[in-house]
Amino acid sequence: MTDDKNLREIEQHREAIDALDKQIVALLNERQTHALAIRALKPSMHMGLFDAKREEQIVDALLAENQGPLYSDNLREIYAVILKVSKEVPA
Amino acid sequence: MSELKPSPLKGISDLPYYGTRGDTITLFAGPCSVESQEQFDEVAQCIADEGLTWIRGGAFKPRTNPHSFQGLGEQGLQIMARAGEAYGLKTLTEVMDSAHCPMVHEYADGLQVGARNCQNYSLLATIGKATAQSRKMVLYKRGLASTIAEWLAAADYLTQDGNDNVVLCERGLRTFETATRFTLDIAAVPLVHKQSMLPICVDVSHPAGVRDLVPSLARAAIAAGCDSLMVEVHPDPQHAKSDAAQQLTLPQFRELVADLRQIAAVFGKTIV
Repeated sequence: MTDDKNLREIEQHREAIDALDKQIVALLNERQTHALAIRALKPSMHMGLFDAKREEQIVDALLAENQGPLYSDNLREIYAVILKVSKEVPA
Repeated sequence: MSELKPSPLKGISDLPYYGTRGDTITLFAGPCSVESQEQFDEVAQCIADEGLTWIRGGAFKPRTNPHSFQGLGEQGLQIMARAGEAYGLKTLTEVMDSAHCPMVHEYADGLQVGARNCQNYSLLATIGKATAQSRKMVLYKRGLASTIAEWLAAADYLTQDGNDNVVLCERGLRTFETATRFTLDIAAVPLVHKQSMLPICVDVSHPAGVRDLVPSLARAAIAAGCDSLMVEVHPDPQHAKSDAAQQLTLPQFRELVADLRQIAAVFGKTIV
């Protein structure tokens, strides 16, 4: 009966992932709210939407926080998409 | 630059309008290569007569074949500087090598980084340092296969020492299409306006490859909202030492400028 036990365990993990994804979506949207607010302020400050230095700082800071099991390169890849999309979201 | 001037054209509701930075469009015109004082003076005279402010020309040429004409080097820079002085024009020319940077900086009003050097980060950093005090204009062309993100990030090499007088220049990408020399990415214009505060130039001669496509691309670039345009013009394109097929004759150039002034006026802009 280990098959049943394993299936139950998979279910439990999936429930946890579903709950986390819900939070991640809420957090990504909250993050984007700030990004859009910054976007509205930047022109008057003569700042471009794309800021190479700031993007590097963001990634450096989160790599410093990383406890694994994700590797630094994995996080870099995930954040490359987040940063790309956050600039692409229509105003 | 950050003040958006209202255009006579209405924008689209609920969408930002990326078409306007300033009310002028700078035209960087001139021959592909500086070939002689006579040749360059003839073009300079024509550009000055049109009331324009800049002339471009190549003294150091990045040629695919090392046996092709490589440019006149320092002699070419001297020809440019003399013509610039005589006709009251600012001069723009490419720097190909960090070692030439102080020399080019001394003679020219604007320094160009060519598409093939888009990823030459040590050259970019050298130019950034060389122009930090003078704040001379640097025109930075996009590489044949550079993404917008790579190009914008690398632009910081030029600006990091204090010269923010940098103009980005879209000049076409290498794609599967061979009917044009390069595929002009016109979306680079609004994208740069969206993501960066740097002005965007469109080089319409290189993507065209042949002169008959140049006018349409130039009109499109202005309609897309470019801040400046680059066009190659030669007194005798047939016998030009480089890029013969894509350079306009002087009469063709005059007609094009007249044409483009009308397009620019629709957007409340003038060509300088």
